[in-house]
Amino acid sequence: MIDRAEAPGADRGPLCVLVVDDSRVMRAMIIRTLRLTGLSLGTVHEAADGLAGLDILETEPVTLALVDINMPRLSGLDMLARLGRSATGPRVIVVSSDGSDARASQVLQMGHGFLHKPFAPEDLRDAVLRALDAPGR
Amino acid sequence: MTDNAIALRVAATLAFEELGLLSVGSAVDTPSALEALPAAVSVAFDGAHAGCLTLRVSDDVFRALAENMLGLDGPDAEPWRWDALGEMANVICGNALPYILGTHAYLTLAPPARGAPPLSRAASHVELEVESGRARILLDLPGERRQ
Repeated sequence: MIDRAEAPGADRGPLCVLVVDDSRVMRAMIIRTLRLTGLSLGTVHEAADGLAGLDILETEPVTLALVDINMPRLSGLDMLARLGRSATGPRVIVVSSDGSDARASQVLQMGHGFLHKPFAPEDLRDAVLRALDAPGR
Repeated sequence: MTDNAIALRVAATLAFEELGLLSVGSAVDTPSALEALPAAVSVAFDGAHAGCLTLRVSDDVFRALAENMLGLDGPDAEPWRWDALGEMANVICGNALPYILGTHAYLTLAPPARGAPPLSRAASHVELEVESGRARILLDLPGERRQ
């Protein structure tokens, strides 16, 4: 059992998380893995595509968004383009099985984190901590 | 084994072991009969190249994926099993294509679909031992490079 007071990221308060992925298995796995990492989690929202993700971001105080790329209706990258990048917006990690350098570079140039699937729990934890510590907020 | 088959083997081993928590053994020379691999999903892709990856697995592998990935078993797990198999195909596709097509190609993967589309004769394939079952991965790249 991880002591919540010593959980990574606990000093920031519970994270309000949004997981956007058209695969409910992957959404469930990401949430399950987040819980295993010991990160301090508050509300966790799920969306199956970019449009549903934007709807949630309009109304909920999301601090961290984990976003797939290839999704129906609105892709993750199109969602992020519409969202823009603001000082008050969520930190974003794009989670994708696309292992190409081209895609990773594209995401990093947009100012977001990138996590390649499959990933180990510690990879997700490290990506989250990097995203939260990244300058720009 | 061709270069494409090696890439498929590496990507599938990574996906089954890291995502599905299943041990992958040797590549097998004698392919299983189709009825021994009843669960099939395919992932079409487009962009710099177009094609399709198909993943077929034996029933024990099909059941083990959702159980290992989400702790789900029993009748309620059935829809999740298809999602789990589809995600596995998605991850294999995303990891194999950069090795085969180059790491600078932009590709768009469609959502996984149940079933296996007809393949061209030139499709690359590999069949692997996965725990006590089997998995076959086929990659069809019929299109020419787009400009």
